[in-house]
Amino acid sequence: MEKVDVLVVGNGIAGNTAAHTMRVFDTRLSIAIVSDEPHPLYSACLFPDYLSGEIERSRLFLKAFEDYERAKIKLFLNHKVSDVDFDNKVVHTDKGDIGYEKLVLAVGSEPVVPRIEGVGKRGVFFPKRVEDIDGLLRYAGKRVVLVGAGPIGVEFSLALVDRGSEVYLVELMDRVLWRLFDHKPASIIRELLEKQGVKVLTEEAVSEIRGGESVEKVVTTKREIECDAVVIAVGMRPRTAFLRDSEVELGKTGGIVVDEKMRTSVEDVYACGDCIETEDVATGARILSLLWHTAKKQAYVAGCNCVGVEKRYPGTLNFAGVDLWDAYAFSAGATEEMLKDRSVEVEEFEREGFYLKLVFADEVLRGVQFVGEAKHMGFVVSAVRKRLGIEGLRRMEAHLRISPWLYALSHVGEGGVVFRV
Amino acid sequence: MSKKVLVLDPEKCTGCMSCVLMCSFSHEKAFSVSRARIRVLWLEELALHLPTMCMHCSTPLCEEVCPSGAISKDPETGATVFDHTVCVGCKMCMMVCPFGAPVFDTKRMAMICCDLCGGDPACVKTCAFEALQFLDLEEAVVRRRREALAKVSRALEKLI
Repeated sequence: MEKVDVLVVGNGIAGNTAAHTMRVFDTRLSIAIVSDEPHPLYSACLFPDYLSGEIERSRLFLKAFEDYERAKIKLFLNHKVSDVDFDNKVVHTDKGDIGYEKLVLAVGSEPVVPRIEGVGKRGVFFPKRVEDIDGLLRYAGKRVVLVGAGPIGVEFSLALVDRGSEVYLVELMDRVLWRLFDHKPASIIRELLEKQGVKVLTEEAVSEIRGGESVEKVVTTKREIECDAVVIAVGMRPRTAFLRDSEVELGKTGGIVVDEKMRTSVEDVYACGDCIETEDVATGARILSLLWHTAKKQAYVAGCNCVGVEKRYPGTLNFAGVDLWDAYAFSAGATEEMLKDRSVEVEEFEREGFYLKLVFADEVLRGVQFVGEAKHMGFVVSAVRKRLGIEGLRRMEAHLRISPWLYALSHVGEGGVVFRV
Repeated sequence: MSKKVLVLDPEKCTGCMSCVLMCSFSHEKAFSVSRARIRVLWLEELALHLPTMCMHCSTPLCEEVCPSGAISKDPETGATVFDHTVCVGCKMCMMVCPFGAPVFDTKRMAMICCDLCGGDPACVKTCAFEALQFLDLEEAVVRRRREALAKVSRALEKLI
């Protein structure tokens, strides 16, 4: 049986960041990564660019096998973890057991498969891994139905339009990107999408996928759409099924419960990335983040604590941006709808090709939504993270009306530069 | 080696744009305003020319959000360095940057940003008015304090 000091389960951004962080602090530790995929680290955020043909497949990969060798990180690829023996500190895989001293769970997430008849047919795709996108690219796809208008659905719809397909975007909720935007900005985004040629259908549920061996037709609650490919992106859930009967505590969301040092309920077992549940700083709720940058941050904290460097995770602040070709849409923190049981105050700024919404609850900035030429959003992200009061922002409101750029002036002296105005 | 920082002084800036042109020339071998990594903004309300560029934050948001791992911190100079060969041009960094520093280069189809020219900035060398200076961190802080004190003493003199 192989034995290593630290074993990282999962070769995504979380697993890689954790492993490389540990290597920075400790050069003698034996570190290994176990994964069921055959690839080195790749970025799933780049799939839309790959799908539209803007970048080549090789550019998805952020690391080469030599990089792992140089960092002396051992790879166990194509090893599927079946379960973990936490008492004896052994991970069971289909190709043998691996012993560990400390374990980092960065197993990531998997797409939710909705209970629709016909999801197993040829031509139905769940975009998560490189192979799924390769398959989608090989597949003809003159008319494509996208189910779920989240960030994946929206970005994929634009990429498919770029490839010359006819795209239908079907969403069960009453607007696109409903987790990120309220009604007003969502309707602006919808208009922008429709201008690019995406056919957006909201408040429609897909009830059946029809066809012989491969997809021919999608039946929704309102119409029937003839198509030759279906992409389903209705959500992701943590891949924690193999931990369900173990000592590791899982939260209501299905994610692993961790403390602020990324420790799980079992000693010497850490977790980070898509598979954990963290506190949202904007709402205080326990959420799954499922974002690239939060996974990176959590993995850094987990890696540091794993080698004895004390670091604390300050909580998750979700923010996401979508490139809509003509404009950018950006959202940080909570939406008005998420905070509806609190006393919410909203400030909106609107101009030609520019929309900004600030959401306050309990007199503290909780969320920002922006559509237009999004720039300088880092300031508002920091403002939400620092729980800036309503008064603090109001003082800057006058500047905001002149130019969003002037926000930057309130950042004076915080960076590496002495700034004088 | 003590860390060096870029010091911007908008009060001294005349808006001559030579830093902008030198920046694009030293990096791109072209005098192009749109391909420069520094810009000079004219703030009409304050009657001020404001040179703006990457502030090389200690924990940069752009590095955090970059999905292709193109952004990293240079441990030597403390600069935030963009690798345009890895960048795919998703513009996330541009969106989150509080200063709007990263620029989309249409020739390379990738983001470019100030890299402090590897520790010897061309914009500083060309600035004739000392609006841009590259100083030791300690020296910059001391200088800043001295200037602030001078202001206070001037104000006090007026009162007395």
